[in-house]
Amino acid sequence: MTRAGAGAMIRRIDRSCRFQRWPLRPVLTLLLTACLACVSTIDLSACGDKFLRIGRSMRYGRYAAAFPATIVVYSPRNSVPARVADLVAVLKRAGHRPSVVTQPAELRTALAAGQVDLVLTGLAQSDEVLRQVELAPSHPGVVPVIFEGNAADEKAAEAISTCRIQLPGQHRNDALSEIDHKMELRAASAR
Amino acid sequence: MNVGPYEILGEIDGGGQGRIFRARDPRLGRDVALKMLHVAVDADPDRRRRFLEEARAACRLNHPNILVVHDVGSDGDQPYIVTELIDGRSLKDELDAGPMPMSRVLDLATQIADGLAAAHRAPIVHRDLKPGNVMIANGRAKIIDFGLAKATDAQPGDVGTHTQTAAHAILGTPPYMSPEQARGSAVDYRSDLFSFGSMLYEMATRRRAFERATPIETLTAIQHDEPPPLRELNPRAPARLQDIVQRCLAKLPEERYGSTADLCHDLKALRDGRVSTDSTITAPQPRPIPRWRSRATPAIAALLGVALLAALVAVNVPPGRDLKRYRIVPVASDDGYEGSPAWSPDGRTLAYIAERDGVMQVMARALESSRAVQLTSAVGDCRNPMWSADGSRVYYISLAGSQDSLWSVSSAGGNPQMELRDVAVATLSPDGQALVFLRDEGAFHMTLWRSSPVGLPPVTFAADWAGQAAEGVSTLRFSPDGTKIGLWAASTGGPNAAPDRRSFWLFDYPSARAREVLTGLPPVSRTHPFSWLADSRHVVFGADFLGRSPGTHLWSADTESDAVEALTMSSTSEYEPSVSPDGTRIAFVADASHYDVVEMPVDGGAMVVRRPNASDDGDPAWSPTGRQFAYVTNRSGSPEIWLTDVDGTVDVPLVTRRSFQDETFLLSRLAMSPDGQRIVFNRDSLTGAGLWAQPLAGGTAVPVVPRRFAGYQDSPTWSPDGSWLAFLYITTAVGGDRTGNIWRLGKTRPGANGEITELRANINFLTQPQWSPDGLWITVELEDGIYAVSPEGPEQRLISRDPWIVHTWARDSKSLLAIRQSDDNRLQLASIDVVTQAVRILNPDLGPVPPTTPPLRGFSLSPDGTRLLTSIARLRGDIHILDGFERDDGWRARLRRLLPWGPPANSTSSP
Repeated sequence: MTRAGAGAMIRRIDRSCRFQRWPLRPVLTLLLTACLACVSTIDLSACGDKFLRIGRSMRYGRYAAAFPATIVVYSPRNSVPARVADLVAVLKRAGHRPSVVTQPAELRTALAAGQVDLVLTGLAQSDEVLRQVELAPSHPGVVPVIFEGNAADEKAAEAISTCRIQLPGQHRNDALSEIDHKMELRAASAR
Repeated sequence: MNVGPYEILGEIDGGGQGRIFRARDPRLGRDVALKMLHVAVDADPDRRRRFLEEARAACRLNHPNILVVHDVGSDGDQPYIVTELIDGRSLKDELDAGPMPMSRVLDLATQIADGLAAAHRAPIVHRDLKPGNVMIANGRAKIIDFGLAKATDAQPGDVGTHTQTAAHAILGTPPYMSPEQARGSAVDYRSDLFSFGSMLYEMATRRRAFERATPIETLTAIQHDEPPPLRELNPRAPARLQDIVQRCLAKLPEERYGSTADLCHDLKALRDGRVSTDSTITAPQPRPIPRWRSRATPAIAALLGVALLAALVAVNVPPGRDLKRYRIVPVASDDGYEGSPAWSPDGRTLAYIAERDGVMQVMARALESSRAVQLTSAVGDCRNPMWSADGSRVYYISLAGSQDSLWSVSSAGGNPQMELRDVAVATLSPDGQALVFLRDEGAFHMTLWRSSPVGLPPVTFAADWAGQAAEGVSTLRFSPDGTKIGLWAASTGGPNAAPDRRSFWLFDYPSARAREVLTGLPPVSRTHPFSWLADSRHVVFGADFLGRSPGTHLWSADTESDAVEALTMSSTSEYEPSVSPDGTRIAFVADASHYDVVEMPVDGGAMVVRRPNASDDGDPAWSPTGRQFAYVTNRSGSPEIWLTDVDGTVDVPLVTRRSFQDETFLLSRLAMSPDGQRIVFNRDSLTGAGLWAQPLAGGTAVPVVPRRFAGYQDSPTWSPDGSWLAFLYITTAVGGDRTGNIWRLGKTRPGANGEITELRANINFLTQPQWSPDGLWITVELEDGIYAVSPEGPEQRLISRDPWIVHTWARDSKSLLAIRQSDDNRLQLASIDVVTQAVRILNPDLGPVPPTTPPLRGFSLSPDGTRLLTSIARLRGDIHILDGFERDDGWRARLRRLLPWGPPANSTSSP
């Protein structure tokens, strides 16, 4: 709205709709009492949900990371597999700051460069990653990612971390929830 | 003599555009008016085609305040137009005859505006609106010659009558032309608004707004001069009328009314006395003196004399709002929506929310700066920003995981921090030591909690509070002195709550003793965030006091006396006030958000707006013929249901304010009966919320379910044979695994005894059930997804676990058509196989999802299964500051101000 529009608005202000203090008070009270007596069965529930309200409710919302984290996804391949790319996209949409490294040297550089909260890696690389994170200044957590794993992989993942991501098979919100859980544990241990 | 098939009976008039004859249509045996136009259409095929197109468009207008056009044709080279025959005289004749009473001026003006609004919806622009083009017969005004100004083409340069149609040529009648017409620029409906303003000015004053010695001087005056204020010429004219005329006569089209429906709405309100006819900006008017004081006045006067009396009145009568003292300054007015302003503790910066890339983010703007800083890049929409006590952080509500939670971010920006999970509405104590918040327990049941110091595990607060059955739309605020908390609750019924209204509660802090205040306020349909004044006694809030005034506006209220005073009253909605720490400025939202009816083909084509206008139009529902649809609109200022042809030519009201005895504040969820005879809808009112049925042929709306089954009923859907109606209804549960209101799916036979057969419980209210075309299933949303349930028994099957915004059945009953939000916040149309649950995307991008709840309202498939109707939210909100606010501090303060050494009457600081 322009300044002129604002001026027009104040011109339209109408103070005559003011309720007078003394004469109306008993009248309003009486009216209210009468109204209450008449409408004792009224239930206005839920009509508020049908008015236009600003902001999508949880129902229409997506999963948002409760603890947005700087995450390095370690995928030691020559190219980034599609499922890793999907995982990175999901992490980004949830509010995390993910990056992918494919070489051990890149992982070392990433960990040494600054704050990393979590490293996501496949089970096969977990030992290598665990060694590296011990040396990293930000002491990131490690979350194993099980790609099409079996019971043995599940057990191995448990040994590495209380949290793990299973792809496919796990709903992505559950995967994101695992990451939030890991971050919450880190925050608690830091305190 | 015959013209085409018409038999000429005699000449009625000869005007600028042609000669008018009384004629007889022998085929129908009726008399008509036939106008032979001064147009040589044969010379130019394009001109002929244009004339016919324009005239035929005008033929489709069907409104009581527009002259009905029966036929358009040509007799040899001579085009003619056939209209209904009116036995009356023109408005010009009426004006020439003498002054009109103001009531007649308002009545005629409202009628003309009504007809104009209908034409503009078509959309057809008149381009030559003037008193000579309005006929009056039996008290009814009818606009004539719609579209003819453009269709008929007089000689170039003849600005005294009408010219066009070459681009930039001048067209119209000079004293009533708009500035853009006078310049020869392109015109739209707003040009008609200017002409209407000129006409209204003349009706009220008997003087033309712009009339000079020559047409050229008149055109110059239209572009550059302002007419004398209407009330200078007619002091009896309402100030509101002057405002309306001024707005119509704005030189810039964008400063006139945004829609003719808004103009019509304002005129109707003035005519019907729903707004004051009193001055809008005048010297302060004292409130009436209470009766006892009036009686005492003579005695006081006798005892103390006139001087003492004057002093007493001056001190003891509160001043009216001197609105000349206020300045209203826009502070955030980008395209889109800006809202939820919150002052920093030093009063120098406003935090607010604004839409960025489809998500509501927290912004901050220092008032001395012209630039806002985006503080968040959140995934979910942010809302309700509030400042820490030292101004270093801004707290807000947004998603964490899939729950609303409390976050904070540095007021300089940076990484946000999640402070507390599961927080629906929150308030921080002024010292920053305590956070009190509402937690949504589901089933419309909310509980109060306290975390102190902020961040510690929360404990329940006011556990025995009687209003716990509140909706998430309730609002909460600590008073500035930190001794109490205000809560404006949207009560929803339940085991302990007062079920019938919005209620304002005060909690002493930290004792948590609760009491209800402002019980004398008129009812409101919804609650908005409010703000305390510095005295910790008065609150300022946005409210739509039902039946008192149209729209939502700012009011202040005394929590101790219930005294209420209007602060704003414009044609937009004003709400979400935030009072500055020094109490002299109120930041607020001026909102023009609404829903638009949109249509999309099932085969994946683009979404198109069916009814582009500024009024709130939603919940469309096709008629069984597919030639009409019904929809809800607020064009008159209160909710109504209208029925319109798909080509927009017929648009008639079905359900209006007059259909019911009490105030309606919401109509929604329309369902047309399969035989097209009735429409069933949900109605929320002061006396209850339930389903009503309205015959399309006219008559009285009746409740579907007898009153003995009173209780909230919603979301009707017809069985394909029209013998059953399924719908949602509420019952209250106490104990067990669900406490609060339980939504159930039931069915009833309309017109029978109203007995309800329960089909399923624990339904998600936001999704409207849909009966399948084969009659075998009804869709409902349960806790974990959309299910098809049998209308006959317990059988049910899962269709989808995704959160679809709206859905309906495809005609073959084998799939659902549904819209959801994609990962990148786009609306996606898809079909869902009800057996395999496979999702097939029909249109991957229908546009951005509006960051609102609900983003879409209504979803209806055409009978031929090819087109879908819904309505989509359009957000428009700006933040303004009302500067120079001064609360009435009582007689002591007023006395101090009267004294020579007292404080200045008003102290303001510029933002």
